[in-house]
Amino acid sequence: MSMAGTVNPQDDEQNLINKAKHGSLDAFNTLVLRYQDRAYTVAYRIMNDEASAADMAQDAFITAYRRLETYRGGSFRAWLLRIVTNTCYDELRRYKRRPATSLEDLPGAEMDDGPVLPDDAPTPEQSAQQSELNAAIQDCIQSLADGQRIILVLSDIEGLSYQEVASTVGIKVGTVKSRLSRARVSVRDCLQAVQELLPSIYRLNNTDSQPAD
Amino acid sequence: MNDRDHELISAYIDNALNAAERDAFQRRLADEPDLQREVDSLRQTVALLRQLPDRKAPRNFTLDRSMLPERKTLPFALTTTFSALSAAAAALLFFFGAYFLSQGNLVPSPAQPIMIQQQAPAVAELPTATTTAAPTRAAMPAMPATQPPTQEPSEQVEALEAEVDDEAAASGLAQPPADEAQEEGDGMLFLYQEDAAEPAEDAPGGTGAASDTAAIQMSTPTFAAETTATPVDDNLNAQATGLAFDAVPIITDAALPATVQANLMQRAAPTEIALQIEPPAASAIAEADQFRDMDTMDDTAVTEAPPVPEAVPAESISIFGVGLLVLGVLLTVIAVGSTIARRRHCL
Repeated sequence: MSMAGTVNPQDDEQNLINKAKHGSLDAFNTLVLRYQDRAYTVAYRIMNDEASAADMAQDAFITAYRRLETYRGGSFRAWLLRIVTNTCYDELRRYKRRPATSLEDLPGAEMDDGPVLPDDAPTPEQSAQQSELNAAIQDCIQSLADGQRIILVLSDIEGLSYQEVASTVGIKVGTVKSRLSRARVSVRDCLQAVQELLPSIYRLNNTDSQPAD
Repeated sequence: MNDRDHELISAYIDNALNAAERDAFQRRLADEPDLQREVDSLRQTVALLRQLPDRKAPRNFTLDRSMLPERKTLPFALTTTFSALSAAAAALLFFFGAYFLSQGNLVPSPAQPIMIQQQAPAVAELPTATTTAAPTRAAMPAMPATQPPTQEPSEQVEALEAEVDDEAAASGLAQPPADEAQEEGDGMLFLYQEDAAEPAEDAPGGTGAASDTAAIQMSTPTFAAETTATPVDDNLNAQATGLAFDAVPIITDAALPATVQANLMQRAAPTEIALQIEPPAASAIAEADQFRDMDTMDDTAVTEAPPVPEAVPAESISIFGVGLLVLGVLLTVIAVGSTIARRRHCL
């Protein structure tokens, strides 16, 4: 984002939050632009549907603005992702619709993954392979139960600590650990089925000899 | 591989094992190639997940005012200002309520000791109608009591309770009248005790108190109006009235938790009232007799509401205080309700 300028991003962020708390919608919208990709990504990983992920991200930002007084320091990103996660979770519980239909959307979704790749993302072939891989991973994430998926997304995709995940979802750290380990095993087993898509460096090396336990 | 192993592997990958656990796990890794393979594959899975790029938001999620209707249209009853004002008003009401309540209790109390001082000697000297029934009671406090005197105090308290009961009912107190009456009767009892303490100590034969008590225990409360159907002179009557009036405020002073407890016991077993008064009872009995004389001018003192106009100011101040406290409670409920409603509304 160009608007951060030369100011220390951390100070700048706190400054923006303070202004937003005092009713500055412009300050809050600067924060929105800064975090909207991240918020949308988390929503998409959980919802596995572009339209509802966009709705969830929008709702989450509205909720965040209205409840800005409840943010009391700490990681703003974690606070925001907590709202996104809870918004998605509420939505999932409300409709309980499973992603059977959204599997058809995956080819389109793969293309969307393209532009965000690092600049050194090389040839179109590799890019296409990467997109396929990412689609496969998303597919495997989607096969998880809601409770496991949210924890996997927050921990392994967003990089939150066990403690942050626990407070975000409202469960104990021990539960985070056990659910995360089961989610990882499930995703690993799922990815073994799409072995041929994996780049050689990511190839799951135990599947050649022993299929699964 | 079981779940426990997978949890260990997962925590190992995240560097979440403590030193001892990690060392033990690494020793296992050296011996178990399957475990090592599992670690590798899961580590790669996590790496695959972590390399997933952020997706680009399909549009900007910036807000405009039209998306935030609730912030503008929050009803006044749900605003923080309203909650704060309610809470502040409640605090003020509690303060003034407590103030007026304490004033209501304190107003007449300075007069109390004076009246008692005057009362004690006067009672001992005055020949009353009841002295005919128990001639030496006033003069010799410690004399072993006979059945009639022991009946009298207990009955007396009953009569007084009834009296105050009516009084409370007449003044339309919000509290249950029974409670008021209990407290007041209790206060009277204490007055007797304190009042009678000095004469009892001075009197000869103080050890007679024990037998006094024994007699009281055997006695049963009966309606003893006939024993005292004798004229009482105006002076005495006036005195009794004065004391009765004074007793009312004393009561509220004496309305400590302990006395309320004691009072409940008294109500449950009327004879115990007499027991409580035991050693210095004589003078108290003399006084009580005067009261009873006044009350038992007719047999149904219970139903009679004696006019005690002087008591009204203190009581009305107390009522005012209670009223303020009730209003304070109401406002507290409103403030809390408003806060809860706002929380729900904003979620």
